[in-house]
Amino acid sequence: MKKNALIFVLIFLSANYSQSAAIKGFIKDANTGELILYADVFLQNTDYGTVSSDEGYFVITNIPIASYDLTVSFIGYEKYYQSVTFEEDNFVTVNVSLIPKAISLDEVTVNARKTIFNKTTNISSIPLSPRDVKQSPFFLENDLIKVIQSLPGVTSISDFSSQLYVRGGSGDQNLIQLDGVQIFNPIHFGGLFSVFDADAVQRAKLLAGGFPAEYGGRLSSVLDVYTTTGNPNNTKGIASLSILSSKLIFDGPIPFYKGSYFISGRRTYFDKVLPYFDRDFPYFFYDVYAKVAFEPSNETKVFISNFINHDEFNFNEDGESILMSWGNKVTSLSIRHLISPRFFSRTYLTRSQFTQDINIESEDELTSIVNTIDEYSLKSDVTGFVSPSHQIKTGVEIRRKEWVFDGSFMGGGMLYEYDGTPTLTSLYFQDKWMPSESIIIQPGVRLNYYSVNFQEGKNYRHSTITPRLSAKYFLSKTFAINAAFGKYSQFGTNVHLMGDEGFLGSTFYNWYPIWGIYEPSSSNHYILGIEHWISESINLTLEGYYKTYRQLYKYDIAGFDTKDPLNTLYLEGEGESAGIDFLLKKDLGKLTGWISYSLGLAVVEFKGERYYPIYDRRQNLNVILNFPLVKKFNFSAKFNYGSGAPYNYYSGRYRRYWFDEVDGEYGDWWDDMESVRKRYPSYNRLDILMTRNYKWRQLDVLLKIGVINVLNHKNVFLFYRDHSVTPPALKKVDMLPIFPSIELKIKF
Amino acid sequence: MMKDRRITNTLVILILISLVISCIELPEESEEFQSKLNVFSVLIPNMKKQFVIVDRTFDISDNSDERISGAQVKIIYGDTAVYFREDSIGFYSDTLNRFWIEPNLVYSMQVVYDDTVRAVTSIPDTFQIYYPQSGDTISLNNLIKWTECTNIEDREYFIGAIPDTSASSGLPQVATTNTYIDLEHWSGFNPSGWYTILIQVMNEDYYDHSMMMGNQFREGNIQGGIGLFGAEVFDMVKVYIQPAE
Repeated sequence: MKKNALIFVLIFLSANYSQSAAIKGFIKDANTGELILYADVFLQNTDYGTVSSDEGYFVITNIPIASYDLTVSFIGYEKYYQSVTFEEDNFVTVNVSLIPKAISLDEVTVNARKTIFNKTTNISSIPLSPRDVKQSPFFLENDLIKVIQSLPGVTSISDFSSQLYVRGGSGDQNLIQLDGVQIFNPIHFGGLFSVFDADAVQRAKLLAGGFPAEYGGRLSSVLDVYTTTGNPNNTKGIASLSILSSKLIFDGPIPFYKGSYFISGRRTYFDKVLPYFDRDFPYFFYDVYAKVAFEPSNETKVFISNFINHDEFNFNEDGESILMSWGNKVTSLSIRHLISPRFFSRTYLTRSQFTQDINIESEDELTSIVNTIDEYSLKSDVTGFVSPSHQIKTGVEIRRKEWVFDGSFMGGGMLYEYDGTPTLTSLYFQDKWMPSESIIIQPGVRLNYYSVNFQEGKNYRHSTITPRLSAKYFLSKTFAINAAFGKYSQFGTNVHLMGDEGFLGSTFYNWYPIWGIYEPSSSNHYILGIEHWISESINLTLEGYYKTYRQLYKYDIAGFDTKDPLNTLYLEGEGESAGIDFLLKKDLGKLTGWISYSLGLAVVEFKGERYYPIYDRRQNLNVILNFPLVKKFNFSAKFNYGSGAPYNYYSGRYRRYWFDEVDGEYGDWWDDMESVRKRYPSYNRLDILMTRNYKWRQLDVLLKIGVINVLNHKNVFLFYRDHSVTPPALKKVDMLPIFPSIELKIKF
Repeated sequence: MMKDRRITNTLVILILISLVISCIELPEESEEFQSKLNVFSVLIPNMKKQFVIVDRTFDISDNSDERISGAQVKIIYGDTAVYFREDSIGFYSDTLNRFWIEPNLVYSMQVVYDDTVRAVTSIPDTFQIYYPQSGDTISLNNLIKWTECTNIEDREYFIGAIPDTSASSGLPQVATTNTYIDLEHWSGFNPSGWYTILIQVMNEDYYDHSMMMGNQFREGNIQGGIGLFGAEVFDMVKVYIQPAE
């Protein structure tokens, strides 16, 4: 019976293939060789068309036998035309190289984001181009995360934070990937910058909620970043100097082979320069990106990438020493292979290491914290263009970590020495189904199996099933209603050893797995919204969301027993968030930019106490504008308004006592009592940036001059009590004042 | 017509979202500050005199910082209540002036001043350092050894070494569940000179209070107030540590 059924299916499929033809191929940039995603591909005067996928691949099937004019178009490129004749049982391969051109206002062009709107559910998904990042005003240097913090639904708690708080979720609930590899802590010291160098980023996408089954392991959002692969035709270089750092970039073709490379290195230099002026600066960081891409065959492309970042703070004075270092090392081998015209695979073999080492020594006390994560992962998926209305994707992901946490506090009086091997295996399936031209439905499911071996040989296992569903209904060609539901699981958390995330919580990363009596964290997303293309270049989205969280964890300072971490490490809580996000974005024309507004609410509850977390910034408004000022000058402005974030207002104080056994004396010191949640004053900041292109001796020179906080608004970073006077005086520390930035970039 | 549909759909969505947001239970509003009694007492079997400090919490804008005078303080064991007299403002000591805190017993405390606060605590068993003796000279190759404290479960012994003079380097406190410690723990600090070796064991209440990290506020085990009613045992010897060769 089973054999007869299989034969029937094969005959049915082959019968379908024999009655029509199909066309497939890759779309690339003719100059750089970079794949072009979401390019529009269609046969003129027919209904047959599609967009290139996330891998720059397209396929159109079930084409009646005839001759056609193939057209490929994408914003910023010349339209491509080719005549194609199909014969019976014919699968025509057309690899297209699009030629870049300057964007003209007078021409009718197809906006890539509009193409995405037409062909995907893309709910809560905001892609960012390198232009979006590089044209945005900056503090000292362009930074991808700072631009992302100006998108709707994303909150920043201060100028010194590069954490992402997305739609009421905490900073450790975001999956951040670089070339398909998870990055554990993408933040440089103080949270002023992230590790993502704007010049190395080819594209980035933020999925603020309702993300599909191919992503998992986090509760709130996904930031997917891909680095550039380099120019396969010409060798180029860029030297860049800013107030913060110096940078060198090279990219070009691989000799004697079809491929390209990209390498970039950046380092701060205050620690080297300031000693010449009798000043000390105990901190530096560096980032190094390297990537090689080559094509062993027309169907296969291989990428090897490596990323290293290192931060170090080294302070020594008067018998006190503080040495802190942390960094990521990420290596990725990915293979993209066209299995057959309809099936496409991606395979990643990766290693991601994170190390954090903190040593604080004073006269008689030593505090030491070492946290290391060494994760190996294998990820593979297959995309099937099974029919014009179905595009399926299925995959498997295995992540195995070697995790160590060693902490010594109070001079060794308190010791934490833990290690474990958490492993997460996930299978997923999703289908992009277009039953008609006016509906897109994307169901999916992700199955997760988690196990962790704790140091004494104890093993804990959990499995979760996380369904996903998103849908889009077109009321017209420019107006659609979006909806999504998703269930998400997370199997670890960032433990803030001082309690809640505070101003330093966003820099340091103490990752702990879920173990012992604790269940995996989970969240549900419910999203409903509209998307409207007011014109070819202006897009409006309005989305409402509601999220629930269960098994949230935070460090139980009062109850933690170092000898029983499996049962006492965490306080278990829950949370809810809801809100409305608005985005008006203009991609084309002289004036580009966006206006984003978020009205949101986040509430968490631990030990029966319900409160607003520090990232509950009720209102957030961002306005980013770019436009050419006069010839060769470009002007950008960024304005951010945020309502005040919550903080603990100490309405009371008390003496804490101790007893000296040697002297038989009592001592005391004043301390604050936690009392109520109040809110800081509202935040606002205006930044501006001017860029100018020059030509100097055959070299292209780009000069960027900017000023942040032009209005010098005193945004409060924190309040504290000065207990040296009675009653204690309330004092404050402000965030960044008005400050200039300058960057010089030379291309050769 | 199409425009009307878009507007209608958008309004419906906004109304639905607003309804969902309005259903979220919001945290309670803050209450006015109320002062509470802040009591601190650590009972120690080896001590002739026991103390209780009676203090309070202060509103942040309060100019005063005075402890509580005129409170009624008593500690009860079995059928016996010992009343504490006020030595100075906020400091109360027992009237018996003898070694009346016994190991392995349970004591309760009551303080009355406007409000009444109570607490209960149990006394750990005693122990004794038997090597080295006071006056001995030891080196980093030696062990410090002591008898076992039987009722502390898995809690640690905390060992500190306090130099006699500022010329000697301070040594960090270490903790162990063993009844000995290797002085090699301190080899990195190059100790040399006279040191008081202090070993202490806290009862559970005092231990939990001490493990509080940073500035985390903890109410403690005082019912109706804040603070600590705990107990500890300790022993100490004064020895000369030879410098490492």
